[in-house]
Amino acid sequence: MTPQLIGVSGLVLLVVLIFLRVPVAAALMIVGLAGYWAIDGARTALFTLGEVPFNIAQAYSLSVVPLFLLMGVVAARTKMASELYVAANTLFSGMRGGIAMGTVGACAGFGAICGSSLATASTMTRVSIPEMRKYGYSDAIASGVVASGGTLGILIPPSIILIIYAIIAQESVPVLFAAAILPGLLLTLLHIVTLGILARTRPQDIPAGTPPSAGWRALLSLWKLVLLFGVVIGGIFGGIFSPTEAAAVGAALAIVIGLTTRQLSLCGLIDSFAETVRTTGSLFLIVLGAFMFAAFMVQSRIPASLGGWIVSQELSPLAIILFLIVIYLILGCFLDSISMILITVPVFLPIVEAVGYSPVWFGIFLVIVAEIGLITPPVGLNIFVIRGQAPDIPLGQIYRGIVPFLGAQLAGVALLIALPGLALWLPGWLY
Amino acid sequence: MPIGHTLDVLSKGVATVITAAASLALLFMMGVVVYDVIARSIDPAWRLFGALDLVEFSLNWMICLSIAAAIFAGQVIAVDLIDSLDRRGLLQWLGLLALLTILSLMGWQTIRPALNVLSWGEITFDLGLPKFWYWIAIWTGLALSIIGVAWQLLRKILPR
Repeated sequence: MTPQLIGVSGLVLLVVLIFLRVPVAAALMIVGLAGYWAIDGARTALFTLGEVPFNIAQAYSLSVVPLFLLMGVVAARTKMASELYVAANTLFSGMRGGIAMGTVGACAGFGAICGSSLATASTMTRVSIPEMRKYGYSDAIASGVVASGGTLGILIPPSIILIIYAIIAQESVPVLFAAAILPGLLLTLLHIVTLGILARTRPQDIPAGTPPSAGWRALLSLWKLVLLFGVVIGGIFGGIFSPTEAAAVGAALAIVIGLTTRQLSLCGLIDSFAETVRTTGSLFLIVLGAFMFAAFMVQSRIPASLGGWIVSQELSPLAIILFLIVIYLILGCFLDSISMILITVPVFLPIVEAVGYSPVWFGIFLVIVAEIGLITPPVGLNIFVIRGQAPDIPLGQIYRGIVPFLGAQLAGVALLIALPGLALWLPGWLY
Repeated sequence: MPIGHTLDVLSKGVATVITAAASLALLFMMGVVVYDVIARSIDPAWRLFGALDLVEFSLNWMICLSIAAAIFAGQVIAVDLIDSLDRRGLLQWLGLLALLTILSLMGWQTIRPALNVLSWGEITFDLGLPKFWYWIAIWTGLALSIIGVAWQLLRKILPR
């Protein structure tokens, strides 16, 4: 059996094990070990398995993940989200669909300090869905806008998924953060345009009424968010902080802001740490498996062989990217985005690079496409978050509400493919 | 009182202790970085010598303990599409058994590289901390994770 054939068999076995409810981390480790064993023998395979925890545990670059997670968790426990929501509504006050547009703006703004789609969707569900329902929005639109808007949280830096991608692809975190800003703003705009169209075509779902404007003074309450974002992202882009330092300073600043404004109690702070620890644990268990699986993929030479084969077929780069979109949309129906990135990047990145795409561009493309998985059934995690907090909204209504925003997300992907400069211009200018 | 209930209480206590320890490691890591940033911005000579070693060391403990904490909390990510066909949870049980097996195998395989590090006397670059300490954190985390998975397996079959 050739290494390539073992590699393909490993990929099939991985999918089967994951579908058979083997934890993703265990499936990655088992397939990684078995495949490595089959190619290179038991001795080196077991040696690699024993070395994996040490390689992860002393990787300084990984420290950025729990620190940014902590910043997001603390921010989610303060009133920053609701203040942001009020301020965003001020911007769209008086427009049909203004509350939903404000929700999209608030999701994007919260993503700027949170870095997690789930935390953004969870926080915004509590803040905005009751308000939209109060003003007569249909359940479908109210839940759909939060589910899809929540995905903006992961693209606008700081973004946990982009950090994970940077580690796997050995790319610069600041460069990826810079690359994500314009596509993030573009997707926000596309969501607002979609709402504008819906307001005209489905007025029964989006009533004209808006809450009384809180006035422009509401914008002053955004000082906390502006301060956090300015210090963290400004510090990284300005070359003052490394990503780890920015994450630590951001987390500490979020705690100080929360405690001094009395929006965060000591119990809330302890809970924030506990939540961060558990989330970090479930994430790093998969990272542990992904390292073993990636070692197997390298041994199998699948990425290189597949890349060589695709180049020899003279397929157009666009055809390859379209093929990847289909693959990711299918995978996104079953896998969460972090697992998807950890499993596929070692395989697909060399291919994408072989046909001439920038790994930075691919990172942004990948995050957007993977995030679509968060709002597609059956494993649409954002959908479950909304359903968990608003159990009286039927799943069917949520799915129905998401459809128009899926169009916005796919339009964003199409624009990114047509205009790669959307992702590459800002990092090229900054670095 | 059924043994399942007693073990439930015990596991909650263990999970709380692990989570608290991992939280302290996270707090320490954040504190070290923030102190270093502030100190060197005031005067570069005040920078915290060995900050990198301290961050790596606390990250190591944080990651290893947080994995165990997530397992005790039942936050192991799995695709549950098949659950509706597997009402008795047999596949879920087998999945956890697979996790237990691979973690145990990993734990066993860490012994040799860890002992190599000990015998070679490897130390960190700045502070000269023994690198074997990293392995102690890994063993602690792996042992607690294995206990956590074993507990998740047991609680599905014990009466309560």
